[in-house]
Amino acid sequence: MKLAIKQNVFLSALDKGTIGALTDEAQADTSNMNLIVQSIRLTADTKELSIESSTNLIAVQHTIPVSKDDGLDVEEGGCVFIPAKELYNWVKAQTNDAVINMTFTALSTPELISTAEEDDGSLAIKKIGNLKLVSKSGDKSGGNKWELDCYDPQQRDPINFSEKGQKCFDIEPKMLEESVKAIKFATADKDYEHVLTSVSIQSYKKDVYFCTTDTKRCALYKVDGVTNIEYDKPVLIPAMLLDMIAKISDSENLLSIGYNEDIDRVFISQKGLEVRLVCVSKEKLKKFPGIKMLLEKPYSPLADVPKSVFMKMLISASLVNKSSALFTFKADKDAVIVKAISEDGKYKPNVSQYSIDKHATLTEDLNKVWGVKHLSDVVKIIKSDKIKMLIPENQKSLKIIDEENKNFSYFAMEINNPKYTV
Amino acid sequence: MSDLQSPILIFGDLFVSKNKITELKQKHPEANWITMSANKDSLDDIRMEAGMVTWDDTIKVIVINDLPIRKQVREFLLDLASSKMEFTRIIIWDSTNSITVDPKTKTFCKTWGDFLNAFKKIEGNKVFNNGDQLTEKDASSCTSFVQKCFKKHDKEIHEREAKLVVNIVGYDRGLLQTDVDKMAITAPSPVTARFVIDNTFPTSKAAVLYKLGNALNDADYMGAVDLINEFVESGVNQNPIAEILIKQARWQMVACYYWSHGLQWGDMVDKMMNMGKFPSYIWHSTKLGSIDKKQWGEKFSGNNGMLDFLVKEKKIPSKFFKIKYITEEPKKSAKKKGDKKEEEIKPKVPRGECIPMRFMAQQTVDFIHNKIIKPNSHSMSNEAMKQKLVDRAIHVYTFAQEKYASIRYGENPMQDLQEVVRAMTDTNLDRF
Repeated sequence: MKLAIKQNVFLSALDKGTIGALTDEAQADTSNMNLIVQSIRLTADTKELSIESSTNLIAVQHTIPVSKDDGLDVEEGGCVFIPAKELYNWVKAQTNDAVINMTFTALSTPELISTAEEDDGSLAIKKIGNLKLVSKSGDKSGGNKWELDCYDPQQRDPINFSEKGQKCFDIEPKMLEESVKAIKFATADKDYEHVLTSVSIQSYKKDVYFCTTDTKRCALYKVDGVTNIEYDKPVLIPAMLLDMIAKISDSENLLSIGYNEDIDRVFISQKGLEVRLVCVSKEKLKKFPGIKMLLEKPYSPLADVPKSVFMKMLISASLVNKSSALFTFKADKDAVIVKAISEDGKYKPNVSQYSIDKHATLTEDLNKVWGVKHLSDVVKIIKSDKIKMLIPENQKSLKIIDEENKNFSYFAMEINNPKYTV
Repeated sequence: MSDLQSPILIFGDLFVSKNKITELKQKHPEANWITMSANKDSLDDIRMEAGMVTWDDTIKVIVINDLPIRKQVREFLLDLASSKMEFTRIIIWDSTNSITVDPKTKTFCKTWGDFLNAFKKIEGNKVFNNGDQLTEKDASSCTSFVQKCFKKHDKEIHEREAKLVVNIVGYDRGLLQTDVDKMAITAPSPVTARFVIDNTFPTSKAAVLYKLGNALNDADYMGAVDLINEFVESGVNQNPIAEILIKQARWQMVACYYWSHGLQWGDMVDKMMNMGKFPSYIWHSTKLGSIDKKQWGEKFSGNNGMLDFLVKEKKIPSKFFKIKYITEEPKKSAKKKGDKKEEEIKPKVPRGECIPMRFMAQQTVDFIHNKIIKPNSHSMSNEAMKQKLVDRAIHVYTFAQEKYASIRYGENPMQDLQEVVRAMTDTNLDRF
């Protein structure tokens, strides 16, 4: 293989193609084959250059067309398997206008890199050659040279991106990024079944919703810009992976999402980008609650609170108790009293009163215990200056909506805390 | 899920307690299981987690572990446990073994005793006391634990064999349960001593002795060498193995001596079991029955047994003895200050070597009888054999003793061990 590529073109391609090999999972891999997991497959022919990296969770293939005008010229095709992190860091260290020449030199006899004691060779990684890297910048002041080991590409089968399964829908990359960014905070920190750390994609009345929950609160986003909806069953994709893909996708072209039930994988494709993500198996899908009940439940306006006031009340309460506080909406005036008591015994109770714009007609004071952190998390997402609070008839939950982003809604459950009994 | 009681308090043996929680988790997989630490997590967080109604009404089980010795936490836990929560179940697990029984008073300390009493008053409570960590004092409860474990698998094990399991595996409920679960798959019912010896995993020096002794008494050279290799590979030092071989050779020597002095085979095991017991005046008396020996002998088994016997029984004034009565335990304050003198002057009661288990004496006798005497009986007279047998025993014992030094300080301990095993399993009297 012999090719020349502009640094900025190559770096942009590596940003996408190396994602699998640069994940924490791949970089922390300590198995015998970790060198392979941490490497990318670089394949070039006269038409295109493709960069592929994969782990069990995520596989990415990014392809760019060969064009001298676009800064890529392939003199001799071929396929090499090279360490991703080293290559990425080296390319990043070159100047923007530099041209990187890559030449593969094969070893006369492959070298076995054994990673296991008393190995008969079956566990060894085969080094088949070196990739010579030469970077020449525009001012032609010398050049930066380096060499990287090349492993045998046959030691890892290429990912089959064609088994996409059922097509779900097409989505604008910008909407994907926006929606995942808005709701990912409501996922659980960890869940060994990965249900609560995932984004649930659900359809309701021809609309597609992204939803996350840790079972105590729920963030919901109605995704605009979704077309060609062909699959209306829920799909659960780890939020972290979806977020990564949202960031690398090209904003110009639609993303097509497909789901293969048989292998529990989601396929996302875009022009020049193929992604395969692991998703939660269909047997566990029912563990993620349906959004229908949330969307159909009527909520009435309770109060509007300026964002700054809302933050102030949460900060005051969290000084004493970060977990929960009692919110008393006065029946006779437009005010809310926030009381925080701690069971840790360090602090005295904190009580503060704030003026609000109350909409609900209350016959008596409304006392509700809500999670302080649950509320402060959502304030960071709300774009509007006003926090709109809504409450259902049974008063068991709280809905918060963003006037400047009507697609977003947030639900927090109340807390049963006898310490706050009024 | 409604059948899961709440609140639940689990304490005692860690392994069994952990198993209990796993069992509950497997029984109620539909619930959302959350583990929190009463020591590290804020009490406010625990209260929030317990009081939070999930938006899909999933039942939540909160396992609170890591109980610190703090009054405030205990009061909080009691308050939380007594709170009525429709969708939340509370399990309190003493994962740090704070709740223990005072071995002297056999009661819980006041702090945890009060906590337990208060917990038991909560409506719907369930308490799992999985017993303390076992020690040698709990031998009987340990054997019954083994018997119960086998019974769970519909297998019967008699007390003697259960005791053998305990002796080999050790006083650890977790290890015992794991070993029994493993053995129960292929064990016959009732479980035999041979099966126990072949299938239990030894965790102590005594256990290595049982297993190795068993191979030696079968005159199985290859089996014994393989076992030694296995023990050494699993981390057992060569020195204790050498000590075991010497011990085994000594017991063989005792059995040979008794037989050469005319003791009947039938009486041999009893005689060997009384070996090393104090006072020999009682244990080796020909006039006393075994029950009388036991009753009388136990009177002198304590720390002051020797003085008691000589002073009270034999009426020798105590002023003639250098050793003094041990009146009380060294004071705690002295121990705390690191005063080693108290410990140094604590007299050691000299004890003779006893054979720990009856079947081991039986095996030794069987070895002499079946593996040495029978095969050699055609080639020599009884009298000649008696002499040869004792010669062999002394020869093997002294050889093992000599090799012991070589094993400890020599360059090839494994070779030395194998040579000792070769001598011990050699049953041809003509070679000695």
